[in-house]
Amino acid sequence: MRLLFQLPRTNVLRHFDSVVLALAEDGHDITIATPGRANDWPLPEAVQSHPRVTCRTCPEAREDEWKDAATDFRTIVDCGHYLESPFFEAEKLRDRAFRTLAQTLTGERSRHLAARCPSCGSKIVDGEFGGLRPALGDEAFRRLKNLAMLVEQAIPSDPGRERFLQDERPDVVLVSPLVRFGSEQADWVKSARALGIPVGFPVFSWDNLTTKGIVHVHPDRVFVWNAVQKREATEYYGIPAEQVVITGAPRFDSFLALAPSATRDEYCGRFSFDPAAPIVSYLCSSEFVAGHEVAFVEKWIERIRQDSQLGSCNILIRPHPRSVRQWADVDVTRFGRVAIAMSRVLNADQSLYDALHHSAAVVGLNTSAQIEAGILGKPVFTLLAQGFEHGQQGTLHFHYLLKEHGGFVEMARDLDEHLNHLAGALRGEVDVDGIRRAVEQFIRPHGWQQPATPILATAICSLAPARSSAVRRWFSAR
Amino acid sequence: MRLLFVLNRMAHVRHFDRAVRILADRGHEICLASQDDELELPGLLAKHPRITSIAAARNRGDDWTAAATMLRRTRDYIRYLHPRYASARLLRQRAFEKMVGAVSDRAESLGEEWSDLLLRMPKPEQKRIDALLAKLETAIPCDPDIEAFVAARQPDAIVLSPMVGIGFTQADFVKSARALAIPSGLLVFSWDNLSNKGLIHELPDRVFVWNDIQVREAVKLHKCPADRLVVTGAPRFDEFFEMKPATSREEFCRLSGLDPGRPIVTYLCSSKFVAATEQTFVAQWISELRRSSDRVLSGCNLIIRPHPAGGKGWHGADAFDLRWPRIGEKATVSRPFADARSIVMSSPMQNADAVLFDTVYHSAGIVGLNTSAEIEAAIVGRPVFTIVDSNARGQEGTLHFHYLLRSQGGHVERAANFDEHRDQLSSAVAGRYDRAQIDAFVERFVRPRGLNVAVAPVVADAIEALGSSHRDRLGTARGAHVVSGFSRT
Repeated sequence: MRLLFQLPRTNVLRHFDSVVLALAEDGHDITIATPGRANDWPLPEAVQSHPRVTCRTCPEAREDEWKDAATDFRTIVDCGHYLESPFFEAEKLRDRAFRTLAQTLTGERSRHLAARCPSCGSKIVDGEFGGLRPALGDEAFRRLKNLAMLVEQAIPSDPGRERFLQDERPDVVLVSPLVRFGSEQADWVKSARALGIPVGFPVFSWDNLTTKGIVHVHPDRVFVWNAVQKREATEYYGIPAEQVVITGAPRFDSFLALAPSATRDEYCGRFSFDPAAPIVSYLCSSEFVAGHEVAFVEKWIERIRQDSQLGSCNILIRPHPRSVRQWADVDVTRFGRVAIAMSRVLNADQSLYDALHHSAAVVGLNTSAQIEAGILGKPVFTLLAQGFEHGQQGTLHFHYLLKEHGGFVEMARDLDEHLNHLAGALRGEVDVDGIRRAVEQFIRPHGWQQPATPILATAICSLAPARSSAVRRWFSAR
Repeated sequence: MRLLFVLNRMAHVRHFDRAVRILADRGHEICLASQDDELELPGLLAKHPRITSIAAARNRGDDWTAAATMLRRTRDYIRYLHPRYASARLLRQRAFEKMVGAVSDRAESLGEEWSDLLLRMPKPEQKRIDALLAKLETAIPCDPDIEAFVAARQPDAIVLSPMVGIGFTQADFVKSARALAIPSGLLVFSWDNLSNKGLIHELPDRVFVWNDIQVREAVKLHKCPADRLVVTGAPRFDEFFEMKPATSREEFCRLSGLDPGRPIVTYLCSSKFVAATEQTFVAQWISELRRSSDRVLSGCNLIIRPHPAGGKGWHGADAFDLRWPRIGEKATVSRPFADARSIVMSSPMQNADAVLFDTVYHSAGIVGLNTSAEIEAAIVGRPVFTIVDSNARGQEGTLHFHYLLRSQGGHVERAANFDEHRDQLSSAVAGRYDRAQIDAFVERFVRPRGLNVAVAPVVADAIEALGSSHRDRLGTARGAHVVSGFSRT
């Protein structure tokens, strides 16, 4: 079978490389099609060197006169999505949607959408335009959604993409992350469907179905991590439940296969930690979620140091792999037994594994690494922090990991409560089984022992049981 | 030849009824399709055996009905963000209300001031949004019902008017005509149509415009390729050109109760949209004129002619009707102002109005804020004046107002205040004005092919040419079919 993965950048493959390799090992021919940007990451060696994997440069933009219009239109529709409940309440996401709209419409000349309120003269910026929503009413959104649907249906398939697919002759096309503001990948779905090629959409990450716009063109199958994402796909995007397949999250399979690279003593030695004292790891969040987190973390450390039960613990700070720069010149030696473990690895990160493995407790505002901590059965904590509300409660996915929503992350309403949580964890008051069960539901809903990689690989193959008549038509025409 | 006219309202035919009659006289079958369910043909059209009427769909009948309206009204609104419309707040508000009304059932919850929300949007972004909306227009498919309607008539050409009203749906007829390979043409209804309403959302094959100003507007404001434009002049004034006064000056003054020994200055009221509070302004205007140091002007007769679409509110309790001599047209006269030599005289005619003709003819000067009758006054050769009324939001805040101004090549003298206005009127009542300038304007604006060249036949020729192109194509296609049939044999 010929399978084509269309990705906007090569780094997207990091969440599916195990699946690509599994499919290639199974005898399928895989094409990784990306627009070939200059700053693209190199593909993992195992993928690149596999004889059944080919990399191709594919068109980035539409070649027809819909080039800008389709992107602009979809970005506006994405923006409108954040005016609807429950996204309307997610201010941070709404803000980003409007910012993206400003950038798109101005060709990056402007980073913000801004105007003066004609009534009071105050400035209206980005997501604040959402303030007009109540004045328009629900009926407006029903009408606008209908308009968006009709227009999307009327946007034709891009001839450039069709030609590319006709040359490649895949049996199945896979697109990810698909949900991006103004997503040009919607055109890949459209063209594949126009040619009768089944299209699958493996969801890239846990937040993807809530944070980055909508699924403009429905693929034939959506491969989701868990029941939460299945609900998101059906409820928010109207994808029929029978087209959504729960596979689990293959990106964690390689993490689960890791083992600690150092003993506890060796590990503590690396950071001059006291091996007799527990380690508490702080996992920083992305800049989108937390902006500049350094000051908050320093304050958090100070409070821990002042706490009679926690004061002597070792503290490891793990900057977000995409935001290491803000930590480059930060000196934490004054606190004693505090270290920063920088890593730019985004997936199956050994340094993260080691840090979590040797930690007694893990803290984070809202980041994927909390899931990795849960995988290792570690107690994970978060606290509602002033100034970070929008990146925490202001996103939908933040709530999914919370204990009160069936997750494993314990949330504190303030620092005092948080310190109590941490102290309990250090005393060993941890429900490891409970954490495992919650993580299982989230990343391996078919069972802890069932890696997601083969499940997704099988689901992808089942997407093309037989070549469609349209595909047969071209083959005979060629 | 079969010609299908699609009109938003049957009444719109009044601006080119002569051209319709000429076409019918030439043997063409004319079908007037009205979108307002009015099937009664006006005037002489009713008696013509080759002119019929039919009801046309007001709107699309498919899933796109609401969506198409939203897209088009949004595009209509966006046009008013352009710097050229910076002071056109009234137009922007109207477009905004229409847009919000199409999107939301709570249009009233957003005050009119919100129409300025995006006013400072830079031009490149406006352009980009307009380009997007123009592209989305191309995504709107033909409406099956409208297509079936057009196909059933089998016209050789379809002619539309006015097309540009915000929310009008005639673009869908053009779309269907194009899909059926039937040529289409837009008869521009009036002088303000291309600048103060909506856009031409689907460009027909021909746009019949009045003059070079509308050529510029069509190209610049509606992105109409120049080769689709045909300058015909304004057919609506042909009858007015042919009119002669039905009354002598003495007769006119006797009928209207004015002193024949004094000059007449006529004030032509504008539409409510242009000047919502014009009665207050007119009362002030009368008293300002009476304060003139020029005794001829201060003592002159004043006629106030309400806009034909809103005459009722002007008359006092003493109003009486009269029949215009030899014409039989009705006029209503009253004296609602506390001024012995001021009257209000109205007539219901919107076109070729004999009462208006005689009024203007017997006047020494004409005043108006911003109204089409200023053009009729120029045709009669009378000097026309305007004075800025800051409460008339449809005056300086529209583009077409400026077209008539002398400073822009027009015939209307603008005054910034009453002192200037009184000076200008003093000269007029003394007979000092530039008739040549007025005639030059009329020729340029109304009859660009020559003052003595009637426009209706020109329009008829242009429509005929449009239909002929279809006939020629059909003929070629049929011929080709026959040839191929022979060759097969």
